[in-house]
Amino acid sequence: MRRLHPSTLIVGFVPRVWDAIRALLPALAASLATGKRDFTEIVLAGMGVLGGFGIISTYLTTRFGVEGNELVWRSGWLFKRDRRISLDHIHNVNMRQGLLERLFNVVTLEVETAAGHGAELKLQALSQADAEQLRAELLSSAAAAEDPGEAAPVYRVTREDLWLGAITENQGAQVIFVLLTIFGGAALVRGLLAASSLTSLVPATAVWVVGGLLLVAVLIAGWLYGAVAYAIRFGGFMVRSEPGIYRVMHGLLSKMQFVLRTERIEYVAISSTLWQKWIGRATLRVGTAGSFGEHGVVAPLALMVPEQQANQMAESLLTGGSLEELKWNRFPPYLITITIVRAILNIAFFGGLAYALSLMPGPARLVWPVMLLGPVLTLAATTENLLSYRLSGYAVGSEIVAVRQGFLMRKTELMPLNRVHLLSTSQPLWWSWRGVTSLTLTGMVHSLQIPMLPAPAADDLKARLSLRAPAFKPADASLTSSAAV
Amino acid sequence: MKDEAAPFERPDPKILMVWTYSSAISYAVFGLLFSLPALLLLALGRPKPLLFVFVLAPLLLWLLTKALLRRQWERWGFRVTPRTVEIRKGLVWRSYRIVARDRIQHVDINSGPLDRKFGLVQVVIYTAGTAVGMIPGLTPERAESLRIELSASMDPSNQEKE
Repeated sequence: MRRLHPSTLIVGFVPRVWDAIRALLPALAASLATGKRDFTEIVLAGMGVLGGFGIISTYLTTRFGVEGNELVWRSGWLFKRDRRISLDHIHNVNMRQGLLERLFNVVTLEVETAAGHGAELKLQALSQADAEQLRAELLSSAAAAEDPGEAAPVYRVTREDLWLGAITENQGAQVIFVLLTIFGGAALVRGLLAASSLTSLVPATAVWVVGGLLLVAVLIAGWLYGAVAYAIRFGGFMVRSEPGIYRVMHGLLSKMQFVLRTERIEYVAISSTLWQKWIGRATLRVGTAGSFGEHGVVAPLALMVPEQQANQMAESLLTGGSLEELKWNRFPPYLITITIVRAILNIAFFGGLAYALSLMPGPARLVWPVMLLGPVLTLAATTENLLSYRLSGYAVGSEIVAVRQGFLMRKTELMPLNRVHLLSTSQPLWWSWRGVTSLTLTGMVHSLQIPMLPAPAADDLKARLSLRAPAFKPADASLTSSAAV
Repeated sequence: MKDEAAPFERPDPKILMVWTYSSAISYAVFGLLFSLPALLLLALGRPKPLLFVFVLAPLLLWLLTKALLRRQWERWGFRVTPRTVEIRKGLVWRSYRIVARDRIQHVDINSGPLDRKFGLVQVVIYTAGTAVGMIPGLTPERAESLRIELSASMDPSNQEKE
């Protein structure tokens, strides 16, 4: 078994110190804005740096090598890990060399399996010679390069559709969150308090009028910000088709280009805002299991297309028949009760927190209005959920599972059963008394959740998923445990 | 062999000791963090009887957790069928997971210091780089046999002809 190169101690440690410093900067900015002077940021940075010393344990305890037909990796002192990856499953081995690694002439080896999303295992750092030798051992044969074929554009967004999408995808709340991120809640409150001190100089009516105008200005600014951001992000949106691949390109300032392999599509979403729904337009997004430069994220495949076209494109990407043939079931009415109870608990929690903070001495007291954002967001989300109840539901077809939800932003999500890796149900005790449960289907990367469905329907889906899987012969009769119940 | 006939297997009973100790450590840390403001206020001569809740609450929560541990263990189970691996757990919040065996990529065997003290290990099942299930409280021998059995699922030649 081999060991990591001694430069691991530096190559692994320095990035963690840098991460600790980056995490410290916003906290420092908030302290300067609020005038608070203490050592909180220094303590936080120190804790981040101390965490970097875990690299010593990694260096001392990591052993790796090829044993038989497996890549074996062991690491850890207090919490030991033992991982084995079959060589047959290794599809790609990448070598990366950053600036620090170049100084010490070492590389990071990333092992990707055939069905993985990103690196299955990272070995940092190895000497160049060790890395080359291990790479040769792991890769039995080079993968044949794909013949790219002739790429034909299958979709290109028009300027009119782009601006239609921009003005109908309102991101008004983003302005508030951007301000909170840059200045911090405490600094914003300090500014509001300074402004409120002006009430002694101007009439109260004027303060209310100015406050109302400011609110309208924030909403309009958010709308314009969202529209411009959408246009910049999706300007030049084009999709080219190659055998088994869609190449998607978009972006006016930052050019994005990525590959979507149709065989890796495991999630499809058709979404439209309320305004887009009124004009019969929708956006189609797909989620893939990422590897070989694919994003592994939910990427748009068509923007602002007619709803029927979006449905047809979704059907062509998924095997499973027509979406119109899906039999939709409404979520159990108990979901309404649970939604309201959760909202009450959430509001009570944040309201109590705001009240407790308002009693605190010193600068902590300034933060209490920020806590009220919690109840406001909860009310907004709860209202959306309640309004969308009649339009929402789930459907289980022969090959796909679908969920549709949302009122202001309506979304239909689909996942083919042949891409499901894991089915899990979660059922609080009080849900079991009502005979309902939540269910999540997980693919390689993406998941689809049915927030509530009858327990027998969940059992049917479990049975169906089990029967789809191939059966394996038992490895050995003596493997049966005596602890069976 | 019918999948539904396969019995659920519980973790080794020694896992109860591991859970007892680990929950005690967690609540001790939790109690320490919450008791610091109480101790500070006491030191400043401002006794707040309500703040003693922050000291007693972790102790009471731990005692409640300990009382429920056996029932939680009784609810814990896993089974390997010819087609799937199924894991169920939870007393108040019940979860159930099913993983098709042909999706399993690799199986890790891990152990923390408390696990090793009681001679136990954990098995973590991965599909495509994601951990989909963790089975605690297995003896090293059972964990190894489980890993061998699940590793056989990675070889299509081991599939039964249907």
